[in-house]
Amino acid sequence: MAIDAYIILSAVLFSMGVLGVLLKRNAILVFMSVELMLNASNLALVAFARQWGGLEGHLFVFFVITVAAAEVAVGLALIVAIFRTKQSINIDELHQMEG
Amino acid sequence: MIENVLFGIVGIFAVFAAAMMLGSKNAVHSALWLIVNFICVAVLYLILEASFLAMVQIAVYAGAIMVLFLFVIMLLGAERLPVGESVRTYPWVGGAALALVLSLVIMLSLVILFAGQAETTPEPVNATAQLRLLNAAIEGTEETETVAMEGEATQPVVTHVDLYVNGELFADDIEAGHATDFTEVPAGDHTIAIHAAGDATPLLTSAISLAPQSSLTVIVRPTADHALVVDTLNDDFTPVQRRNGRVTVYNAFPGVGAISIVRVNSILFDDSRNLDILVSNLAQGDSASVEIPEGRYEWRVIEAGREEEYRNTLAEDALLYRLPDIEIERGVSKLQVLAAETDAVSGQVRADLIDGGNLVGDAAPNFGTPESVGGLLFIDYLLPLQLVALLLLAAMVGVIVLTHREDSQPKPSRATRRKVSRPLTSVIAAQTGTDVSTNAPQLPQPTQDPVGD
Amino acid sequence: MQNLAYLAPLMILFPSIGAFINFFWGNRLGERYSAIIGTVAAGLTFPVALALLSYLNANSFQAAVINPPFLNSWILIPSAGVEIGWNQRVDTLSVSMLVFISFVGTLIHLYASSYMHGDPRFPRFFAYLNMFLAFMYTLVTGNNFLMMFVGWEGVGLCSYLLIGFWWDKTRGEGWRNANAARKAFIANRIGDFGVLMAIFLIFWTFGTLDFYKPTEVANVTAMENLRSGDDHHGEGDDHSEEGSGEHEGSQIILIAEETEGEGDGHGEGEGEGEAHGAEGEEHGHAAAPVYYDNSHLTFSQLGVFNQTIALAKLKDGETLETGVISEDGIAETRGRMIDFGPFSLDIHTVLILITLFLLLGAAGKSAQIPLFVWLPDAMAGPTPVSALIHAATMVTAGVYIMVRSNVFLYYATIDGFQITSLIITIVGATTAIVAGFIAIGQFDIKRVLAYSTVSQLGFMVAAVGMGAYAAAMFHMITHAFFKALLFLGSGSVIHGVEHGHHHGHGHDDHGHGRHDDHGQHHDHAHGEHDDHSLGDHNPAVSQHADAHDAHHETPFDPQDMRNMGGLSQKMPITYWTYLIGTLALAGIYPFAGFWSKDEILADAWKLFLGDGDLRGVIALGFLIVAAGMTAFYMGRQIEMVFHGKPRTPAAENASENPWQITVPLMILAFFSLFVGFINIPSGLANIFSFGFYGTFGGHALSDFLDFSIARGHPAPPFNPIVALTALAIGIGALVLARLLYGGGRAVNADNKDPLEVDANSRDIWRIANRRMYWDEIYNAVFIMPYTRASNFLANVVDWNFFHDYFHDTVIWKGFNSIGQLLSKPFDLGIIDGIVNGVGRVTQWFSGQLRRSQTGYVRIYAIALLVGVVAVVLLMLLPAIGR
Repeated sequence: MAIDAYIILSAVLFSMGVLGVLLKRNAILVFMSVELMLNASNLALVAFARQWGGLEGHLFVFFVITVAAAEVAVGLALIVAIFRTKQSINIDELHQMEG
Repeated sequence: MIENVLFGIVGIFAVFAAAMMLGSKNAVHSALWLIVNFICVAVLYLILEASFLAMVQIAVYAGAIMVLFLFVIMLLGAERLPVGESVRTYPWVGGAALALVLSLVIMLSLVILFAGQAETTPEPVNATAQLRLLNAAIEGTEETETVAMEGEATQPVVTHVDLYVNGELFADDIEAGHATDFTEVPAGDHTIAIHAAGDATPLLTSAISLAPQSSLTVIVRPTADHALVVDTLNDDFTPVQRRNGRVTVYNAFPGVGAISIVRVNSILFDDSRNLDILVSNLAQGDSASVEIPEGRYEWRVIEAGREEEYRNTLAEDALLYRLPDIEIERGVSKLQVLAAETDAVSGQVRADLIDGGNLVGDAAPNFGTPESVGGLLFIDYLLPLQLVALLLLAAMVGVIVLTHREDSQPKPSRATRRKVSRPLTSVIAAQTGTDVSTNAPQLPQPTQDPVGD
Repeated sequence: MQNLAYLAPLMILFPSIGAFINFFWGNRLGERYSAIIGTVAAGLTFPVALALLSYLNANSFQAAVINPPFLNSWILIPSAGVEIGWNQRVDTLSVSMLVFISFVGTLIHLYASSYMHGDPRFPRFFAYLNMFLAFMYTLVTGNNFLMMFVGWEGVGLCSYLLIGFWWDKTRGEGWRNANAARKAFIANRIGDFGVLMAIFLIFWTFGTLDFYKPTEVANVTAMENLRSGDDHHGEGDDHSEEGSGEHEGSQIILIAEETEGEGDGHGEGEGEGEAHGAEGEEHGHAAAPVYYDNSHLTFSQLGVFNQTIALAKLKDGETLETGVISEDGIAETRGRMIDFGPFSLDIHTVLILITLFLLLGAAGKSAQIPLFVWLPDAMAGPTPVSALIHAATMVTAGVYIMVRSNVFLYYATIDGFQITSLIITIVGATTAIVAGFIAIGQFDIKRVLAYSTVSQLGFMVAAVGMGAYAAAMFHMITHAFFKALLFLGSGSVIHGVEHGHHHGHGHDDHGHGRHDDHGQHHDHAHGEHDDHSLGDHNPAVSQHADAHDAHHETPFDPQDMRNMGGLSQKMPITYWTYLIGTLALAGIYPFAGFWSKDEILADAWKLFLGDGDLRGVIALGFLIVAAGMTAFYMGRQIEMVFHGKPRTPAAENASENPWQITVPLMILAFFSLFVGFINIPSGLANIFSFGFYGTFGGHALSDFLDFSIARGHPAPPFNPIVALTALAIGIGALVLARLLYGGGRAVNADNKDPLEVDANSRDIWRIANRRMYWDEIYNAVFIMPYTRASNFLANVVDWNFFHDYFHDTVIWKGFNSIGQLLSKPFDLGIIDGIVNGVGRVTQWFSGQLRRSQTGYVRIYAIALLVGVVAVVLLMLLPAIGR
């Protein structure tokens, strides 16, 4: 019974993260939303690990946190680089890849 | 119950924090609300017995990563986006995103709903139960050995038995001192019969009743007059108290009557302070279940009723047998059967413990601790850990490369060359009348290819 | 020293190495070493030839077949059963050829080293000469017709190369030289066609080309064993088991009879070859023990000649087993009829065809009617070439091939009448008399000798026709010596006159006999020009110029006898040697020509009177006249060249030549004097032969050659009537020439021959002078129609029709119109339309697609989310369905 609540909470948080990614214009906020999504999925993983009594879920969460750290570092570096050239971090202004 | 309440409060707060993060106009506020959200998640990890991950969540996520976010926000001065600078290009994105997310949530809920439904489906009538046989006959006796019965003819000692369930062979030729594994059988009433190994006529018959999802151990023990008796024992799978292990002791030792068992906590100080009475006055065919802390212990079999005396005075005449050391593991249920064993040298019968196997509970006692996670991480998943470390290194290098600012000093050679070339073209222009530097001679345009490009 | 026969490959190897060296390093070696290498390479073959002769002498003149190392099988086609080996045959016939070829050839090499001095292509000349010798030895020693044909073609090639050696001379002479070479080559091709056809027929008929299979001749080692052992009666282990029933116990037939002092016995023999013990015929004529027997050999194991004998002995409808078992297990049999697919011919008819084709080849190579016209023109080559190739050796190859094919000739009969032999006799006798007649009317010193050569070859061919093969070979040998002597002498004369010419024209202050001088003028020195080489050169005009114009206005011709005279004082060695050669050629006792010519005439006499054969009549009549003519034109030549007074300054200033030229002359003169004694007819008193009779014995060469000539004519004894008649005619002709031309009357004031001046003989002499109009006839009959046909084919058929009409109109225009049709509507319309349509569709579609790439991150994220939702939906579907 408890696991269902955790999964639903995870889904809600994930959806909010998705909304943030889709709707925010500030690139940093978009990144934060991504972090929120990662956290939501982490929560689900931990809940499942508790359910099944295995520790592999915890390991996965650990790796996800590590990769998230790397991703944040690279992503923020990208934002800094973009800000240097465009003086803006509004992602709506970044559509040079338009076909 | 307290956990559920705590989950409710923390979960609602986490959702609230996430909503505030999305709603804040100020990026710094968003970051702070995100930290709150992360802390809430950490609490949830604690509830889920993931103490190590909760620690990492606070330290790495809420600490390091969010500090990085805040630092970049403040560095770029990007707390607020300039208003009205960018027009939203695709107005339908918001609606579409909302719809999609909603549908996603609905579908996930449906999944959970369906899963729960499957879980709560009533058990079928013929649900299964588990059954095993443990032969506690006297060990070490030759199969052909006979014992003299009082006033009767000799009769062979049965050491190897077969178990028939409802007339069908269930376990074949089980030696004394050995147990079979649990085997699924339909729940309900059954007739079991014990045969001497290979013998067609049953020695003993008995009726048992198996509840669904239950486990039953059929124990065959000898009586004092070397006859065999069948007994059943329901195994206890209920969770054990934390840091403890559970031991179920069954007395199958013939000829002594009721016994008591004491536990010696330390072999250094063999006195009453280190003696605990585990089981007292355990008659033959009875069982007792105790929960004791994990550890390695020596057990002694004491004459029933004299256990207090033995603990106080260590009276040697009260001591019946010394048993081998047994290991008590955390969160594990254990069945130990006290059985008789014939000494190969002296031919005397002495007591021995038959290990009925561990019955693992529903949660490991050290679940989610840094110790267990670390063991897994550094032993079983060392290679992925190294790969992740390599990824971090690559990210570090990438960050340096991305943010490295090139030295953009203007090169002087370009201006110099232009200085030289300029007058030359002007000389040509003066002589020819046309400025070659501006009016490049035009090549005749190729005629339009009708085929196209 | 018993296996000297194994030296035979060296005969070919030495000149080949010499030619190789001179070809590739000749110019670097320089003239001196080039000459030394060439001469040594030729000279080394003479001892080898002598070694082979000693081998034959030591082995009872039995033939040996030598398989050179590294050449196990030359042409091997196992599936067709063809195996033609590169085997060399050492028998009396080939060795007798080898000895005189190597001897004369060496002398001519020595002569040429001086004669060609200063020529810019000196090493190449020696390379050609060496190459010629190698091919000549190949021709002579080959054991099969194909190998012989290789040599045949090789000497033809060398002849061509050497006739045209001075192709680059100025004033049109080079052009004439090249034309002469071409003429020789083409005439020889006609003959080669005959040889090739004969070879094809032989191969078809017999399935092999070997004269005799190596198994047919005695194994050298086995023979040695025989000789060393006491038992001469053939109980050799290696033969006794294989014998057929007919000859059991005596597989090796020993026929040993006394040969000397049995003059009568020679006349009675049937001429059956001694090498055919299988037939069990033992004749008194058989001269030596034969150490082998072929009776154990099956038909298919025999060479062509023994197969011919076996087939020809069959009666009508009779068959013999070939020894070949076919796959069906049936033993193959052969009858007299040779199967040619749609028709079959009798073996005798096939042999007539073969021999006629061989005659055609021989006519080409040995310059017989009708193909003789190339030989006089071939005198355009340097004089050593004329001596070596066109007098002594190559031109005898035709005679050699017919001598070699004597078995064919013997059996080429119609109802027992040797038709081919008759034709050959007629051809030879006619050639002899015609060429002799033409020679009377010539002024060119070498041309006279050339016609003389043709005439003498006619003698030999006629002898072959009469079956007197040994006589033909004898005349060939003696002729090689004295005709080489005459040619070299004429070269010496030309050399001297030429030198005198240059001496008289601006080198007066230089001393006589400085040979360094003429070397500088060699480029145009040897004016051995040919003024009537081909039909398109108008002979009449040229003749007119030669006859009437002063020689100062025309280029000086050192070969023209009218420019000579009185050279006997200037060039004494040349004169005396030339005189010996003349007497030998004229058949004056005791010179070599007397004996050999007498041998032929005696054969004719015997055939005429003894057997009443038609060939004898023809040969005797024609050849005696030809012999008279020979003596007459030689006498005329002596008178014109050497006697009288010098008629030109060139002749006045002529001088003797260096030792390289005179020494060969003297050696050849010596042999011209004495070589005739090798075959003195039996029955002649010893006194007439200066004791040589006792040394060599009667008919030594004939007996020697009889080991190789299976179906020869027994040599007749000395015939005093014929000999005296011929001698009288010869002396008479010489005297007549002396009377006509002697005493300064050789040429009259107008540079005319006395015979031309005399009204009685003028017309006849004109015919001789104009060479009986052979060239004109050929020009009219063959060359003009050929030229017209070629012109028609080239101008009308090829140019007008194929080029102008077919190519330009049909192909070009047709191709063009088809191309237009294909390019405009089809290629541009359909093909390009499809390709461009695909391109346009792709362009439009991609233009639509590119709009989906907005560049906005959120759009991509939305797309991703849509995908996620879709996937989740898909995963959910089964649950919904349940």
